[in-house]
Amino acid sequence: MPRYNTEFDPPAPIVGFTVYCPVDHKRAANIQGELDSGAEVTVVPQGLVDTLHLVPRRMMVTQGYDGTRNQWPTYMIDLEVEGCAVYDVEAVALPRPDAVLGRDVLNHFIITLNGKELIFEVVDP
Amino acid sequence: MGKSVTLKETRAVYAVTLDEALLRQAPFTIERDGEPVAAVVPVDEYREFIAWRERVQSRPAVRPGEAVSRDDALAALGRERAAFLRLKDQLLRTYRGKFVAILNGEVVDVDDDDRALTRRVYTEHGYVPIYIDRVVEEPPVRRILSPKKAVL
Repeated sequence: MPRYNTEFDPPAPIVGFTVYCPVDHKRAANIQGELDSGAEVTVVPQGLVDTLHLVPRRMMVTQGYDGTRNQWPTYMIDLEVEGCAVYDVEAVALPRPDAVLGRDVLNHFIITLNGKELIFEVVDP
Repeated sequence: MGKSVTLKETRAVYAVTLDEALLRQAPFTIERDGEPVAAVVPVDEYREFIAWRERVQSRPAVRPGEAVSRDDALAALGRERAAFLRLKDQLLRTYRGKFVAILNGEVVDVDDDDRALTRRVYTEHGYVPIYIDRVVEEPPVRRILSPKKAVL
């Protein structure tokens, strides 16, 4: 089982996964992202857009926890998490170094968080 | 092709003396009250211009297969989004609740299924910035990060 990343305080479940350009799976990149059930949508780093030459699809209105609203471009991507493919994910690209897997992706899996042991499991049912 | 008039009509209306040798050197400008209102150019030059204009107008903002920068892609998407917003009242009457795809300022496809529509337009028009959105009065607001991750 993967272990929580203890570089985060408190430790966080961070999973490695692969992002693919939806029209060309040769364009792919391995990145890491936090499992975040509080996020409605998945977030990827802006740098990934440049690496994979992703094309924006629309602008999404988002709201932060403090009520601040923003608009961000979204991109369709395909993902492979723990050996399981998730197609046609709408991801927001933000200026940040790592990704966040939101409920749009997490709901495809059975996820067990064992905070006591600092281990977690992502399983495709 | 634009409207054609005979030389007789032109002469009658504008009193233009058409010297074809002179026309090859430079276009005539037709003036009204001292202000230029039209120009007369050799027909070959005019046809070349029409062909060029059609090529430019039919060309997608970003050509399929062409790697573009993120900024260029966002600028292209912005133009398509502006068209979506401009057409929104009309779209609400005809496609309310459906997803539409906008390319070169026009609706190129419609579907109830967002993902199926996206796949289809990328296949048919290339992987270029095509604005795809649901036709609704107000777009939904999405929460993207847990509070602790909201500092970007």
